[in-house]
Amino acid sequence: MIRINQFLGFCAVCSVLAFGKAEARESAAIRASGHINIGVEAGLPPLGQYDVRNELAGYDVDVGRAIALGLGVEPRFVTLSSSGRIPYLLAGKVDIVLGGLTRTPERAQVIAFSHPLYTEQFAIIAPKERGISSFTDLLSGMHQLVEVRGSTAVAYLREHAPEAPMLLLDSYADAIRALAQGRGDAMVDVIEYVGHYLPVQSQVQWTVIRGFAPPVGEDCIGLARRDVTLRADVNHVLEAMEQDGRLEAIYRKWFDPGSAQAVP
Amino acid sequence: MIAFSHYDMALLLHAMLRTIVLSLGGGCLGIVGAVLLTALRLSAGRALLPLRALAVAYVQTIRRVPFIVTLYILFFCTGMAGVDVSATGVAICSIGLIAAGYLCEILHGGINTVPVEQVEAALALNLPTWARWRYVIGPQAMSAVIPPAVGYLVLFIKDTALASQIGVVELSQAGVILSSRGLPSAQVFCAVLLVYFVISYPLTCLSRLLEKRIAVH
Amino acid sequence: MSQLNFHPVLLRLPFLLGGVGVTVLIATLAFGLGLFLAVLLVVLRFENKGFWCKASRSFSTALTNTPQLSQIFAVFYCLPLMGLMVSPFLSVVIGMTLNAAAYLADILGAGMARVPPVYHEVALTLGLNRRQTYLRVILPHVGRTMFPALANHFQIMILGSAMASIFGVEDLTGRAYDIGSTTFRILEVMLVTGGLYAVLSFALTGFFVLCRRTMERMV
Repeated sequence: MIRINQFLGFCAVCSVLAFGKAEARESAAIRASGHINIGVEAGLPPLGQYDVRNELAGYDVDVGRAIALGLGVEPRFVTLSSSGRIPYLLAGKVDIVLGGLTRTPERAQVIAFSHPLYTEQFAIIAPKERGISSFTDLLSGMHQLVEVRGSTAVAYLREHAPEAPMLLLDSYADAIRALAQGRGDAMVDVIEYVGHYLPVQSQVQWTVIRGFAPPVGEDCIGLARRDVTLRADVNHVLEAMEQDGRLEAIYRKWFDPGSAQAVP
Repeated sequence: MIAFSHYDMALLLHAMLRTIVLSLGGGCLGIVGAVLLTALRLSAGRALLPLRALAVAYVQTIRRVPFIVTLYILFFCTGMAGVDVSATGVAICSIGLIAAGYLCEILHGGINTVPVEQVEAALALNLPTWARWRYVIGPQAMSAVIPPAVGYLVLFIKDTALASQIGVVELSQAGVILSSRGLPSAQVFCAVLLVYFVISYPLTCLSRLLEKRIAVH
Repeated sequence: MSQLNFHPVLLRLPFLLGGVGVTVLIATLAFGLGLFLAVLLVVLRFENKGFWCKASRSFSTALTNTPQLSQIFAVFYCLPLMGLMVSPFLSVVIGMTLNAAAYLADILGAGMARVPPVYHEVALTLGLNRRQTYLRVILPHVGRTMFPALANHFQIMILGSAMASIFGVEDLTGRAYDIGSTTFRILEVMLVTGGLYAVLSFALTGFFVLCRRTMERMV
């Protein structure tokens, strides 16, 4: 009996802490506090990483700074992993979230999206000696895939290659390293992100297979659904950035020009 | 072997300081929390009974949940409660919460080792409450409290590694950043393990010394 | 989301409960193997006063002064460099085994130091050899006196096995995080998980008390 009582006590303590106002903040609250919490992935170049000078840098960081500037507040970056993007947003740990967030119908049921930033495409990345030549090779279930937990590729593979066994890891760095070390045979993910890790594992000869999937979609800034005014403000800033070419410039700066297409 | 650059070293140093801040901050919070919890547990009177039960339940439960789960719970709780606190702040608080539980158990146990006759004698001498604690219970309990408490706090330096999971750039996270920068992982992890060792080992020695000097056997 | 909604989590409770089995399996494997290693380490300490004694002590000092997480990371990333390909599950078990061996050797060492010298003498007069002395006399005695400390370390290992989730192992915490990232109810699932760990730990406490009683009755 004591056990149950103690457990209930624990739950009570926690729920007292948990009940209360939740979710990311509205524009007014953000302006009043003078800063905006921006979720970025710290292990996902070219979107975000700690550069050689130990500063957070990348596409997402530049876009985040520009948004904060447009709103007239100071940007505060919160680092997170792929699987944390939506939970962080829903729990109010961040006001807006980047990190290569693809717009999907499932996600649209729980969070809101800004105007799209750019499009992305899936590719198969595999060490050459694995002999994988097309997406149909993966359907047999003979090849071990390495994927990043919470990424759109996982959902895509569960639908299109349900037989393929997957090892889920927390970051792109871990996943590529695991692949290079032979813990798996292939990875399916957005080539624009993964491509930057391949030179690090230079001892492996990589094959990259593209074109089996349609462009997976548009990457957007994620916001809490309640924050209608914030969404309007962010979209407003994005439109201005598109018009004066800043968005395009940031894109050119970080992505290899031509490997992916910016939304015109 | 690839030599660490100036910035790599700066990152390691910064991360080391962060690890120390987490340990110290969490430890201090834990000590304060433990004293409060113990005071509650030792309190008398019917009115405080629910609080006393809550304190016991807290101490019993918090020590049975993995640090990483407590960390996640607190991290997402603060967000939902609308408290704007950094990941480092959350990590320090979680360490404090757990340390309070463990230290309370040690403190409570230590105070219970003081023979009842000692307290009764102090009462018979009509010593005021503060003097009873300062001169009679305190010194006797301390010998049973300090060595395990220090040992426990040293143990917790190593658990701060888990704060990396909510995005705090402490030592083990610095290792991950450095190795994803292309430095050889064996070298990076050796460096990280070495820094932990340099922080932890002197304190382990201190805890052993205290054990020898003041612990009652 | 301004209120907690446990429904999506409760729907996936069977999956989460399966994680309890994985957690117990990891902890038990690592504890068992660690205890075996620890016995070897501690016998080295008491039987050999030279290099091997120092090596055994240094092993414990090194592994008890660095975080288990970094140790598992080192195993996870460095074993493949030596050409040993091990699964994440095995990496975690190996890392935890080494860590456990270090702590358990210290615990057993403290127990050995408390074995009355008479025991050794009696064993000698009975004509037992070194191996028999350890297996029949010393270790059972140490096991009994150190049972609470050993049981306590097992509990610590149950909690420590939550780190396995970081390496992609589907233990209780790993499954919780999976559910959190698909249902987006991360706080709810973590609360339930915390509760499950607490229940598991209380159950283990009860189990160890029973073990202890049985042991005392047997003596």
